[in-house]
Amino acid sequence: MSGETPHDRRDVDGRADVEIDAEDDGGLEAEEVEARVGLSYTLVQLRRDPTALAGLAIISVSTAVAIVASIDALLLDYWLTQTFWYHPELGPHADTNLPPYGVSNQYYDASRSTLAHPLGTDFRGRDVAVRLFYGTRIAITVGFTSTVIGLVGGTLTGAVAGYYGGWIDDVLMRGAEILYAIPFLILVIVIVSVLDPQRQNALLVAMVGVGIASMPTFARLIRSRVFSVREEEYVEAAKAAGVKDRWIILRHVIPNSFAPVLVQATLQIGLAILIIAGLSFLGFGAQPPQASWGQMLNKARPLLIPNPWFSIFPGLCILFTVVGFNLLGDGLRDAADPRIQN
Amino acid sequence: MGLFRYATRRLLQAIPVLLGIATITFFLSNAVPGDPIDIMLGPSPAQEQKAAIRAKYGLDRPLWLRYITYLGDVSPIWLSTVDGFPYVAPEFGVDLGRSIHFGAPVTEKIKERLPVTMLLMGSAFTFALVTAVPLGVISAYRRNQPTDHVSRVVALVGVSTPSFWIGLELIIVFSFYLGWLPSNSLVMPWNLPPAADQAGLLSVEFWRIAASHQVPVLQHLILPTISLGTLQMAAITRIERSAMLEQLSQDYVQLARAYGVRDRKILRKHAFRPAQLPVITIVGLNLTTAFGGAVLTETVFSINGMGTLILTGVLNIDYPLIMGTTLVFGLIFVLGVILTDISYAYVDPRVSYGDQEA
Amino acid sequence: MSTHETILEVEDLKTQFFTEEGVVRAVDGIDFDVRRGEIVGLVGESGAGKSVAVQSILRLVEEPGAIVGGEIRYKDDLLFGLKASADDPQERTEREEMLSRTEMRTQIRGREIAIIFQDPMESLNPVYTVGSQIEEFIALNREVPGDQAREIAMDTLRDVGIPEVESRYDDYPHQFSGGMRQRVLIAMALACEPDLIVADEPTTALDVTVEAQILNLVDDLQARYDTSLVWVTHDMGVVAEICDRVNVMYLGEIVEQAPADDLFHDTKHPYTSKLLASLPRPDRTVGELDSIGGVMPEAINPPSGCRFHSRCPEAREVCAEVHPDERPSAEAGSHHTVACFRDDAFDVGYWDSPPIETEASGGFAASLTAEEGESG
Repeated sequence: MSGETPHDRRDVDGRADVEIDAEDDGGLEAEEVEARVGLSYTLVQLRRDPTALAGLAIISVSTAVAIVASIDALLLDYWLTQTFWYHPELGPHADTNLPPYGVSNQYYDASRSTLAHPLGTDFRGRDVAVRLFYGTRIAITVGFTSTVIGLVGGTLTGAVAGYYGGWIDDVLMRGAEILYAIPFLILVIVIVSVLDPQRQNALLVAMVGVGIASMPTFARLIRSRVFSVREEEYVEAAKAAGVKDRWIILRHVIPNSFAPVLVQATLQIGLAILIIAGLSFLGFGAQPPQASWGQMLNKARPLLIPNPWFSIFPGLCILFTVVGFNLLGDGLRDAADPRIQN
Repeated sequence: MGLFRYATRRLLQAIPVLLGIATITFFLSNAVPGDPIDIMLGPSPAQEQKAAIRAKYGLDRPLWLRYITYLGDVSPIWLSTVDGFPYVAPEFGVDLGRSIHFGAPVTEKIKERLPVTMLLMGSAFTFALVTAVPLGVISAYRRNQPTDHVSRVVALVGVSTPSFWIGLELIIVFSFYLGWLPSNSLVMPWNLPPAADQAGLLSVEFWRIAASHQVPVLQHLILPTISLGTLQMAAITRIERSAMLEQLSQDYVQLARAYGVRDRKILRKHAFRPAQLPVITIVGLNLTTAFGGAVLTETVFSINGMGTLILTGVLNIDYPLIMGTTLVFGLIFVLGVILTDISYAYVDPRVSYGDQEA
Repeated sequence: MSTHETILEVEDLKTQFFTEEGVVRAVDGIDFDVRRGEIVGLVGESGAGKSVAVQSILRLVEEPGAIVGGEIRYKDDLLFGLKASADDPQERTEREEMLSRTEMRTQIRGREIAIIFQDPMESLNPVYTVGSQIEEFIALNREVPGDQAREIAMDTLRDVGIPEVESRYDDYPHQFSGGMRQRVLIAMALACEPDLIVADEPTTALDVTVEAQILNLVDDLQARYDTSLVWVTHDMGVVAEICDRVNVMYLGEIVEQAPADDLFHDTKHPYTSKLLASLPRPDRTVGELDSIGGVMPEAINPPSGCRFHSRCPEAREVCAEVHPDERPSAEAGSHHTVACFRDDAFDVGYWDSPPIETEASGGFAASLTAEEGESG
């Protein structure tokens, strides 16, 4: 668990680069430098990649839905959905446990289903479709927020550790390793139960928890970039000219590492959505009556056999959204790193 | 030899990390606002009773003293004061305390649950590696051909699907609609039916029973394995593919081609071995993701493993149980990473020989 | 120079890469041959198509690249050759006598023609021992029993000057320096006993003293093993040191071809002159050192007429309009060919054509070499 471990950064999807830490071994550093291509170049490359654009489209749709839902919830007090649709959290809108339109099985005949509730109603008689729509809001919000927390915290930690080196680096990086060694999900469960035993703000805590847990990933990424940037001439020059350290980090180091961080952040949003769905499923994330996909899956479990549709739709929503982020992340990575272009 | 020294060094480096994990879990658990004694004894316990139990679990002592004692308890070797006398004696063995919820030693619960989780994880990683490695290699070799497209879509969906949801859907399809496979708990391969004991270890009958016992073991294992292993499978497929692609463009692979080595051998030998380095790394690091997945999978399939144990601990604010299980998870992770580092060093001579030059 | 039989003959070879930006004509109709026991140089700036040319010989060019035309003969085998298709005269198919992929692999690669790559640091597999890598190729390309492969490998390693071969045999590549690794790669090529070794800029990545050692070694070993060599380089100094005959490449074409001595003393093509002038020499100061003006144009859209005209100090209007083919020089005789209208072998009215402005005009050193060209 020291700097000599032969891996430096973990990617959510497994496409981790293997690199021996820059400070211990210059070995693969040349490739590192080669891979560091500017952000604008990355974005131009991206325009040619249809799969990445598909990812971007999925993200745009999800984000648009999330924004509409947020405006409705926060500013309009559910006026929009209540007027044109149903209230996502309060019910009942119809009989409980209605099947989706046209669906039947040995427990439910199709005559019960209705076009008014195309995806059926849940155990409280709430419309499933409107709850799925609102679930997007929670997924996108937690995904982005937790990633921003991880990104900002991790970037600062990594930049400071990499820039100053020495004992500051040692302490911060050992801390990151310890944080790393405690399983992600378990760490967040413990944090949630410690900070919010009544689960009043469990979702918020989970979001922050996932953010904190993702900090080491960003910290390691930035740190290894800093090691290579630190030696660059213009940084030396800035230092010689008496520019403050803080300014150098903000002005030179961080912008220089933007492309790989963007890749990691995009993938991290997808991962965060998955993890928070898992936490909500276990009861440590979104709480009833909030409309979250993980929470809906939690409630679907006791009714798994008679009402299989309860579990199918939220899962597909998660899959669809996360695929969007992974597609864009892959596209960004390929664009940023010409070596592994397809 | 280089490899042995490397392994020793890595093991020693793990000690401070484990110490850190122990510290974090201790302070996190003790920051839990709820009072476990209240949970244990119900709404209005008698004060004396409460105090007695506090004393029994050592909760009446100051935090720092409890921390020191805790460290001593969890370390295999420690120096402790004997009965408050000012001399110290070595203390051996690991003591994770007594679970408040179960009223039993935490080590006992862990001994009971750990093999279950290890079986599940081992099975999931075996499934992941056995499917992902060939898939990634073929995908890279047939780059941008239909096989590659299919395997990439599978991998993409795999990394984007919540593992617990896969579990739920598998139960619906295979346990309910098809009725092929059981949907709850695991059967341990070594928990043989009583008839086996009666037959005796040396009898043919014993081995017949033991062998037929493995059928329900496998049946129970299949769905949880797919549920937990899919994410790993997808992740490994992706990294295997990109690592193989990178290797296939290397000069030394081109050189092998220029010297008349067959494509198949290039794939199997020249490109394959160096391409396993990132795969080894990801398997080690993905252990943590898999632990999280294990909590979810065990919940979905009602398996009594470490994951459900830690959930029990958290839900009942059972400090010793939370601390013990987290510590064991951390320990396994650290050991797993060291093991992968050693395999890495075994594959890549540049690591074990230390004198890096390349 | 040499009167030996010709073992490799390349005729009108064309290799192209089909990229998103367009078709890159990396090698665009080159002819050259290699005789037994001789070292043939292939010289040019980076991007001239030298590496692609030698990879084409072994048919190692991969997607999105492909050999699209020409003929490559090695001894009695046809390594590459097309013929017009029977049903569609526009389409050309591989000739029947052309070696199949399997035949290329089992009969030619390593066995008859071995290759040495540019970067010794990247050419050895980091996870296998040096000895085992050589052994594998010997076992594959020579009919020898297993235990003898090890002995051959050790002997060859000794030949190329690896010290303490017994103890270093089972070391890994990272334990060798760059120069030592290049020696290993040379040993690898020699140990397979091919009749032709293609060396693709094998000393470019090495520092000058090591380069000199390697060149001496190659000169030495070539005489002893009687192997022919194609030596790819951008360095005229290296050419002078070891090559018997030289082919000068510019933008996918060979512009001048001559025995090494003739090339240096009776330079015909302005590009060759420029390459020679860019060599540091003890009798000239750095100030006099001449670089070639401009950069090589893209091979996707090569300039019209003579491809070098955009950078040629001697360019005249005709050079931009007509494309010179390669012809035996009128004055120097049949063994010296050149593709420049300034030679009397051409009759396109170069001397009456008005000079044009190019990137290179105005270079003071350029006029110097031009004088030589005219008087010679």
